Amino acid sequence: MSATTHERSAGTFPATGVERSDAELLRQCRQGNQTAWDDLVARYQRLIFAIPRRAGLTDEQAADVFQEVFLTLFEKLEDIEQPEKIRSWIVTTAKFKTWATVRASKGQHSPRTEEEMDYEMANLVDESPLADDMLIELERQHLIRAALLQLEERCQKILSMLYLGVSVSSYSEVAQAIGVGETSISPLRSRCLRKLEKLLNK
Amino acid sequence: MSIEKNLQNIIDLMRRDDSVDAPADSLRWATNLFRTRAVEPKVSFIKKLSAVFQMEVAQNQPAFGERSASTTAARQMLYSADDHAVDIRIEGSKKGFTIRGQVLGEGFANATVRLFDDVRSFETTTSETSEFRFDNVPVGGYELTIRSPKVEITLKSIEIS
Repeated sequence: MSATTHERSAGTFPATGVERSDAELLRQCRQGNQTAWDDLVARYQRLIFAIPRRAGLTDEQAADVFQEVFLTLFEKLEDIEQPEKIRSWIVTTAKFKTWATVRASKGQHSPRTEEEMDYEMANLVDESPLADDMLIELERQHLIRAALLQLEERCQKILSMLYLGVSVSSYSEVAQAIGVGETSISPLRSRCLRKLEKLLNK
Repeated sequence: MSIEKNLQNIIDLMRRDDSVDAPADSLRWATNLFRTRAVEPKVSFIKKLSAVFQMEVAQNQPAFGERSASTTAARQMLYSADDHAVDIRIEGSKKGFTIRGQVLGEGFANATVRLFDDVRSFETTTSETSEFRFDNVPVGGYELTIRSPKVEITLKSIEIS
């Protein structure tokens, strides 16, 4: 079964060579650098869109949350005190806005502050739609996708085709796609995985 | 964790990754957001909001055994402005009125609060928890502004009587 490109790749945007850190991107955004902002959007778009979808919101609601998160990020660019922790800030903001949408769709009062939201979530008797474990997994998947984009194109293709998403390709399909013999895939796969692991442990 | 186990963990996470790209129009919107707004002059970053009166929450009753003759019953009102809410409490005393308030929402610690009419003006600063207080305010019809570096909220027509 073939899958659409966006389901099997690590993201819409291609790798841009040497990756700038989150903190560096944020600093450049503050200086009005459009490219830095574009990179920030590219880096986080999937993670942000995944959070409301994982909570069970429709694609349309998820798109609204997505826009609200980026609008808030834009408005608070100058106020974020720890640029190196932008990922945590983004996840918390997306969680907050998702939760507010879930509450509003049930006709319930939406929490106005993060503290109020945390208090309400802590007092829920049922399981929250955005449990911490789930958010941690989404963040790890985000880091893997980001690291994947730093690998050379062949490794990106091999690992994406073999492992990314629910529909996986066979060794022969991967071999055909990158133009090597099928017996080469296993060692190539191992090498690419180790490179990926090294990037993740940096 | 052994390398093999770690690699398997990475593979498992990749297999469970069902994330997709955000819709193309949302992506365009997000990138254009910076392009269109970053060129706006800095002064426009102060967003001006007019608060809308929501409700008079409650009228305080004197506690059991408390004498109410010396004070006027407190009024508590709730206003909303975009993502923010403002809680206002007005309580009378022999010397005038005490106005206490709190902004519910982010970014209003140490904000400047001004209460004024055509002839009088009172100014204070919010606390870390975005609370403020004015004492000995005379009877009158006032306007209240709460100004943070990014947002200014205006509450019009506050009747103190």
